[in-house]
Amino acid sequence: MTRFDELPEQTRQLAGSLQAGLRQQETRLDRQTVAALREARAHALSAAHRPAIRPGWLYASGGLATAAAVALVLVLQPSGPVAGLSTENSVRAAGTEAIDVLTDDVDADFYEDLELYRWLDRGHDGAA
Amino acid sequence: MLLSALQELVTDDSLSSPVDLNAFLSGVERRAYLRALRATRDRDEALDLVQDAMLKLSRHYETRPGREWPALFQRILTNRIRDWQRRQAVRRRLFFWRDTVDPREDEIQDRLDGIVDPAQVDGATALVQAEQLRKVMAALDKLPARQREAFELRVWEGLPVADTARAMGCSEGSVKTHLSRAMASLRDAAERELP
Repeated sequence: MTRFDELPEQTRQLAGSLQAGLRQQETRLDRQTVAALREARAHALSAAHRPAIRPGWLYASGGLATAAAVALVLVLQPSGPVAGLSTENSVRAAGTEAIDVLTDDVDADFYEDLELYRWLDRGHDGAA
Repeated sequence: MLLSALQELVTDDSLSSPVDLNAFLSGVERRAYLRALRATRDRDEALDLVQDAMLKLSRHYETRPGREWPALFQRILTNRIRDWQRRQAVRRRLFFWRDTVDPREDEIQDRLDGIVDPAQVDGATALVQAEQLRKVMAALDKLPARQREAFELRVWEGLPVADTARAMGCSEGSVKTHLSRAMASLRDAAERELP
């Protein structure tokens, strides 16, 4: 059982009983979902040991998807202004954010890895 | 830094293996799925997010010491859920004319409720506890995202405060603040709902 020393006394006990209750309820997932999770785990473990194959056409389709996303944003500009910005700026801001979100698959892993390595490094420095 | 990391890989006796990783993932997958389901309200999306997080942990961090896996996995899953929510928000804005009410919403809510179904519990005390738990989980859905994350990682998952902070990408002080506020809201909900 986890200790919740950082919590005030009046909520510490509730945290403990909620944890116990939630852990107990996990066992009530339906068989279909449990099987799907088992399959997902097996797939993840086996796929992790296969080299990632990225054929050339994948890069070309990635470029096309990016171009399509940009075109889509330009055509379907948001109608309402963002609070605190002029209409022109809000359209530009929303459009830029949309492009960023729709195209950030390319670099998401890179930035996530970088961040994870940073905090792992900080963790080891702190432990030393 | 690189040298010390390599030395640790060579000398660490808790070095992982696929069998260990399988056991670890097996132990966390149900909670991970329920977290993702609560966030996405979509069974297939939730399964995809969990599999994606498992794959990333296996592919990039399998050789890390096993003690680091819980925080790493939760960090990856948290990022995946946040990315999914951001994309959904953008899609809703771009395709605003589409109906945003998911016809499967009731089914998903039933599924979440069914996990804490009082009808499956024996005894009066257990019945009250199950009902209370169901109401508290309903209140959990209404919490701000960061408070909900702090509760899910610290209380439900049982991560230490330091690992929760790493998984959430914030300071330990922020975790304590978010969790304290979350627990206060949940306590209010629990007390309101008690007979």
